[in-house]
Amino acid sequence: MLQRIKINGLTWSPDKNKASVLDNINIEFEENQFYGIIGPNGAGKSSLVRQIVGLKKPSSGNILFDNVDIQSIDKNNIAKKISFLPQSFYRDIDFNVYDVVSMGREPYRNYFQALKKEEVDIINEALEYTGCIKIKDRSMTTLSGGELQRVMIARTLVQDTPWIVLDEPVSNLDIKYQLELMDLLERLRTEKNKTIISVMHDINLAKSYCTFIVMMKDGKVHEYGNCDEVLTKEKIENLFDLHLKLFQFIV
Amino acid sequence: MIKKCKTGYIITLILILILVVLVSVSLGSTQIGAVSNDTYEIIIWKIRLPRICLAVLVGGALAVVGAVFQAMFANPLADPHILGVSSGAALGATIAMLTGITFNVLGIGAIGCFAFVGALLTVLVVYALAKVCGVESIANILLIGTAVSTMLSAVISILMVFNHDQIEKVYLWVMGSVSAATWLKNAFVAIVVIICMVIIMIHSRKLNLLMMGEEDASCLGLDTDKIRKRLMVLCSVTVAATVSVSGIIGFVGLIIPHCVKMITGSDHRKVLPYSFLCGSVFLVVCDTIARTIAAPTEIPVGIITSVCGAPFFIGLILKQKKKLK
Repeated sequence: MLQRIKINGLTWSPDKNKASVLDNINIEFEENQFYGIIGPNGAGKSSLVRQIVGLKKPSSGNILFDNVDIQSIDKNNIAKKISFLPQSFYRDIDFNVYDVVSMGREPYRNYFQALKKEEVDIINEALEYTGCIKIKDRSMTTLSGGELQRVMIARTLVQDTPWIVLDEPVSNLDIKYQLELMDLLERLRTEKNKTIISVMHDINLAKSYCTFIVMMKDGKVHEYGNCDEVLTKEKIENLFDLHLKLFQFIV
Repeated sequence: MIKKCKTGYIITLILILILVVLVSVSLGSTQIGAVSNDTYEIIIWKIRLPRICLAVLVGGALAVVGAVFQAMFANPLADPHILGVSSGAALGATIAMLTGITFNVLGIGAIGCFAFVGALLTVLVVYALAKVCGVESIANILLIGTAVSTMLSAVISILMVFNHDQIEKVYLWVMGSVSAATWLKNAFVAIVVIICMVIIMIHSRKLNLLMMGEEDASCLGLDTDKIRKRLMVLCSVTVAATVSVSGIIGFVGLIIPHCVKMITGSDHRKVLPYSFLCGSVFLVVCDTIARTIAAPTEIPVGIITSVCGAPFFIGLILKQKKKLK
């Protein structure tokens, strides 16, 4: 049976007296797709992904993971199903890359359990897959933005969840690393059957990699559907309140 | 290097601790000769060894609690006294001294018992206030802890103003000393410290996750609120037990974790055991200096820890900076 995340009438406000950041959201995410969430600043994109991974409690409505309310699932079990890459990480902690990547096994380990041989293999495989094997002994404090992002992706692989949720994963990266990271995510989807839900700012990247697009504006879902249907000139202009000139490059 | 020979470093530190303890036992205002007699036995077994053992326990425990608080509050200035535990203990001890109450529970006198209860009550007040203000905010707990601590210190000052004759006694207690050690008191501190240290060290991997940030730790399956509360209770009980027998010994809990992290990195599986051993060595050395440097007069060990610790710490920071250049 296909795994799915269903959001029903989700409304969220950080404070009872403040306006809603998310307003009556209804969407369904199906497995093995690449979802891009786009929209202007303050549209509620980051708030939505935090709801999906269970970090914030909805004011009303719910999020069902395989028909079970995500708020009723304990954190450890959520961590075995959905991994999350926030926008930024603490960088000034003197952990080495291998230790950070092996943290991905935490949901599967109790207080006393050492890493099993299979788990060490999973970690090494993830380090290879993301090109981090050469930097595995380096301290986190010495990594570049691109390397750090790759290390975090490696940790996500080690966490071994069917769903990967990301909040602007390419925002701090140069164009080379942006493409590398997006290629890596696409490979995860096609080769390892992962489902990707990512907040994105770059519409060109969204167009190249996403299968579905969620357009958000003022805390509401503005448009939702197949990438080619949603990413049209009119809809983008409407979303960002601007006029666009479209250029098509064939490489 | 440190990653490859973890056991080697632990064994080296244990050997250094044993050496420091042996040297410390042989030093004091009375010279211990090669021939042992009854007086020497009393000096060693009833005076020097109990206080050295207490210094081992208190120094180690304060350093570990300092490391835990610095990680948990993501604040390099956090030390074991930050939640107001020590001020509560000091107020309890002051009340016991001023009222002149005397009793004895498990070898601990009225001052120690009042200090222990005062410390625990203060932590409860800090937690209760933090809960009202929103327990999820770490900054709230720190601010409330500091505010309560300052207020209690002011109350102690008021009590001292109205009781001139007791000022010296209260002041010396607050400065911290392990001179009042007995085997019975040590047994109480050892039970509390060993139980709490073992449980805290079992959490060292979870503490590493907490350092990655609240959201990141949650997404790796950690119930951050539960772990944080558990660690705060363990640390508070540890500090309450140590402060009630030794007064407020400053600086150990602040500098030892930083010194250790300069060598080991941030991994708490190494930071916590190394901090315990280094804290023990440091306090035994400081206590030996405190009781020998101006013998037969004794200087409160809290003063020595600050006087020796501060320049040493600044030196380490400068050395680290040079290395980075």
